[in-house]
Amino acid sequence: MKTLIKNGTIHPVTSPSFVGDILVEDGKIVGVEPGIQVKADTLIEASGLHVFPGLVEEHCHIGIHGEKTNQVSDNDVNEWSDPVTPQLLAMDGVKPFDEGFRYAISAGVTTLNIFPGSANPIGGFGVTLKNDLDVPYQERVLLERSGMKMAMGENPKKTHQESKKIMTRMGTAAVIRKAFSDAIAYRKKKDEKGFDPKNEALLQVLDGEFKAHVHAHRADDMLTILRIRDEFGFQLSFEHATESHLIADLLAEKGVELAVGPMFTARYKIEVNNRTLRTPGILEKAGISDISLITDDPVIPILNLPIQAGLAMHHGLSGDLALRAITINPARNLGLADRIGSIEKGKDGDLLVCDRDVLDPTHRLLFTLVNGKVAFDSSKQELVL
Amino acid sequence: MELFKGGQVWKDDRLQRLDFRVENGRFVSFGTDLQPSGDTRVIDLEGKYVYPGMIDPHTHVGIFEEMTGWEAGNDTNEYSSPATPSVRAIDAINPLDAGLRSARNAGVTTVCVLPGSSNVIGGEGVVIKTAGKNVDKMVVPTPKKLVKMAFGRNPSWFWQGQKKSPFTRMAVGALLREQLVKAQNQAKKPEEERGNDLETRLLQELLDHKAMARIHVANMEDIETIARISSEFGFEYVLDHATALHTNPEFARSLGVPAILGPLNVCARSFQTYDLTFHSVQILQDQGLLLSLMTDAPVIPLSLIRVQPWILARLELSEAQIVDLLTRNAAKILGIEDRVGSLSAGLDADFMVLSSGFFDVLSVVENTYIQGKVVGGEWDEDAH
Amino acid sequence: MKKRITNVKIFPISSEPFEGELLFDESSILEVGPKVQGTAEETLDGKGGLLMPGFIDGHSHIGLMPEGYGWEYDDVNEYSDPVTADVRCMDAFVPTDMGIEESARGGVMMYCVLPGSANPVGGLGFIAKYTRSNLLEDKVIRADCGLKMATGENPKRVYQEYKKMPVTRMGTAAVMRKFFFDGLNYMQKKEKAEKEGKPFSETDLKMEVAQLVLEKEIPARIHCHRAEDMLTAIRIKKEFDINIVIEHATELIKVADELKQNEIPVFLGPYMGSRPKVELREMTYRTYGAAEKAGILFGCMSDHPVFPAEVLRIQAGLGVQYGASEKAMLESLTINPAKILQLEESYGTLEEGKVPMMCLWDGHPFDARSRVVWNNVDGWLSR
Repeated sequence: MKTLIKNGTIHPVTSPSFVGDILVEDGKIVGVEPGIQVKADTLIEASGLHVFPGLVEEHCHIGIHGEKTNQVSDNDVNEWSDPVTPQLLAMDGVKPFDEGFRYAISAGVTTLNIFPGSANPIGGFGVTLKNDLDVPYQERVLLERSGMKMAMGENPKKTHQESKKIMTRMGTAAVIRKAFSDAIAYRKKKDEKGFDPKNEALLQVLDGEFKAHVHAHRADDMLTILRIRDEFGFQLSFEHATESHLIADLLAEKGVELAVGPMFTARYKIEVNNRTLRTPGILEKAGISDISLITDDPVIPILNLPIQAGLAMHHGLSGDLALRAITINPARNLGLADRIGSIEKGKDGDLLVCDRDVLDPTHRLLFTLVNGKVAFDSSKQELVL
Repeated sequence: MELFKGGQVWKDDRLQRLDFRVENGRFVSFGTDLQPSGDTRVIDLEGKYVYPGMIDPHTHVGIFEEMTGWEAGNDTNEYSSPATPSVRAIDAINPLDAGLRSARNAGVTTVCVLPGSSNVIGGEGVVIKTAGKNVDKMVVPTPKKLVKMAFGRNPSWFWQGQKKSPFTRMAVGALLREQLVKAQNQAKKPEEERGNDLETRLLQELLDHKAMARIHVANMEDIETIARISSEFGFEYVLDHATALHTNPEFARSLGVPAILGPLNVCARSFQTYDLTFHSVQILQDQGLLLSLMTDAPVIPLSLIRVQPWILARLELSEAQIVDLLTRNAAKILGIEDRVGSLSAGLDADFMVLSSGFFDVLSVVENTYIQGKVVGGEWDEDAH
Repeated sequence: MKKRITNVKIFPISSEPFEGELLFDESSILEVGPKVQGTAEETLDGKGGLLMPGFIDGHSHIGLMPEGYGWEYDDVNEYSDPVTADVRCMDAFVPTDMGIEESARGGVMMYCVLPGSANPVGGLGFIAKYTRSNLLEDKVIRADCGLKMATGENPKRVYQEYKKMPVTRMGTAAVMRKFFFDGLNYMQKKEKAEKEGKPFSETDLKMEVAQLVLEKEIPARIHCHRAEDMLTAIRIKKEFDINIVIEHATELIKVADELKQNEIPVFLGPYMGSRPKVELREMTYRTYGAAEKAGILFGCMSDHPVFPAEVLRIQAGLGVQYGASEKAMLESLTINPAKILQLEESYGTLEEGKVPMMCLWDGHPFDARSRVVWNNVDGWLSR
């Protein structure tokens, strides 16, 4: 099946923008250049329009939180019965027919990474889905285990205070260290005790097979995790990293991936008092370019993914990094940069056709393509807004 | 006296190159090639854009304070009882709330502060300018007092949790009617028998058309209940949120009451917000309703007030219609259009100077003016 | 627009069924007989089906707990207090409850919606008809049509937890009687104020409802399962000289004479399902036949969602299996509830002058395989 987009202003992200064509065949991009002459099954005349890679959301809870319901019956974000649940798979909690996926299509998001919540210091594995609503759920899964969700700060304390399992930040850190130490001890004794899914999952993190994605707002929470990383050794991405701009130089030195956001919330808890749109700009100036921007939908709706990026440009974020932060950078953070996040030959046919810059919040989405198929066509459907 | 020259000024529903004079906190005149006189200070706005200061008719800033954690700064709901008509938002406003600061940095010059929506009758709201240290000096008097009410599952779920009536939505209706009857009873008593009427005064003013109700409501059936009770007792009301109103456009038109829509840029996380959509603005606009937009700050911080209008620009609304939602229409609904809401001679000089157009995401709020004085802008370290 | 239905077996209810035709417009049945004389703009071929009045479900909680939404959306009982007389279940009704359309497929085109039975004095009900509009104002036939009250196990069970009266059946009766005594006192105070030419400044919405019942403007709709509860209801009726309807009347067989002597109409059901409470031990479909034999005016009720209104007609069919006549059961779904709800002038039969609320069945409604193929609201229905 061939889809041809002609005469658009193409923004590949990893190379300069140009006016030209894109040919997608059987779900993959096979041509990115001007003057493609091929007979296609679907032709999109994009003259005067802009073509972007499908956006990549590195951190959300769509599908496990239950759009338009807020009852115990549908909200599966946090397994708060136990603070340490590394063996859980977000994949097992996703509701494939959840309304939220359609919102994401209208927002131009073609790949979503869905994490468990931040109630637990160690929450479980995330799942990365391609937002292709035409195929059965299991076929949408790009990564059954996209990374180990962890958390520091107020949320684990607040959740586990009542059961008196965790009362303080030092308690949270102790729980994490104990979990990792237990896993190491387990490895030594494995033949005696048999297979234990919790410890196996933690060992996969310690062995570098999966990255730890740690929810942390405050600078001191990030420093605590860095200390623990030095002790045990694992790959790391900070999620939210709200105060990262206060320790930008240190983070640049340590070489950590950052998934920043959402910056659109009220400062409703103490640890987000320093939440500011200035964060990405300051990080960029400190030489950190490995920044993704996230919405944490439903904390803010996913359609704010590019709007956040645009607004952060008020305070120094470059247009170049703003676009990268919602495409190739999250793709790289997830280990999927070979498949998604930019318009290049060989990559998935995930494309957006807009009437102007996608970072312009007034843009009208005309088409969303996922795996080369038209998932949204503004002439036939209304935006899910 | 100040003379602002050379800017692109939003007047009469479009941008025009205009100069304008400000004196004693008010706009004096608008025109082309105005010349300074005497001790006029001239401010050059060449290349800049001037819009009316924005007005948010439904917020909880000042009473639901930002940056104070979960408890200490939260004075939104007086939940000792489901009906608290003697409570006033003005008595809880902290003018130094970070939320007010980021509001004026974003070009918001006037906000209506309301009690929350846990109570069926929440208390009296108030309209204030967003800058000042003494809230009494910040008040913009409204021709009718504002009585906050809430219908539907917000109050019924909350009070069920508190094990106090109303448990069900039918009891929410009954409670409002009982409170109104209480006020009617007071009015029927001879003066000397009335005693302390603090608890019924505000509702009495509502029945006397000296106040209007601002009613938090989401579902269509609850909107019908409000229409039923208001026609039974005869009081004026505005629908706040009115999330499902757009699902029956003819009915909305026949009701003919103003609606303050929003917050729209939030996730629909409950069955109450099942019908939440940006398209509701378009649908109700087409029915000729007087509409405004809200952030319900801090649900959406006022610093981000322009995001909802930006998203609305994707639909078929005109720029003028969108700008009006946050300026002139909000003023009309509150009854203060003779003071704020547009750039007109005689009105308060509340305006914002942007580096480019309203709908440009890169347009920076260079300065926000309230009554002719700079009160904030994105240069402030607390902006955004 | 005038429409004519031909080629149908008409069940007027007011007379024996016959093969015939019916002419109607939006507001009334114009002609009904073996052949109609008037002209119609549209003719509907009934294909030999059975044309019946739409069924009237006398006691339902439809819309108060919308299906598929769970306990958080349950507005059936305001159990914050045993006496909530001024609460109107109309204010909680959700017109988009999926049960409404499904009940129409079961032939139910009108329902009386009442608050639940947790409270001795529960609140005001209303009568609604099936419409395509989702606006309540388009559905309501009569608001505040009756005051729901309840005896038996439910109020006791609820208020035991709160340690509030009632915790016994005597307590329930005492709460009800106090309500009516308070009502009489209130009416006296009002009269006094009127006589003295003073404005009455103590309006109390709960007492206004008591007055409506005491002045026989509206009936008390009293939930009773056990025989003694029905006798208590009759006792209160006589003491205060009010009109009552008894709901469920599960042990009717034991007190049929008293019900007949006092001319008390009843809504019977739901008798489907198991017997999860002691007061339901004697529940039986034979009750319908017993009411018929005793000459008691009875209607059917679903108590939706306890049982879906969609299967109300199946319960009626089971009544026939257990001894009632088909005629009596059809009347209990149509003219009887119309009479009890004081709507018989306009509803309940297919006669000239009445409102054309009707369903066309492809078989007898008491046969579970039959379905409604047409009704006057939806027109032709697909499977």
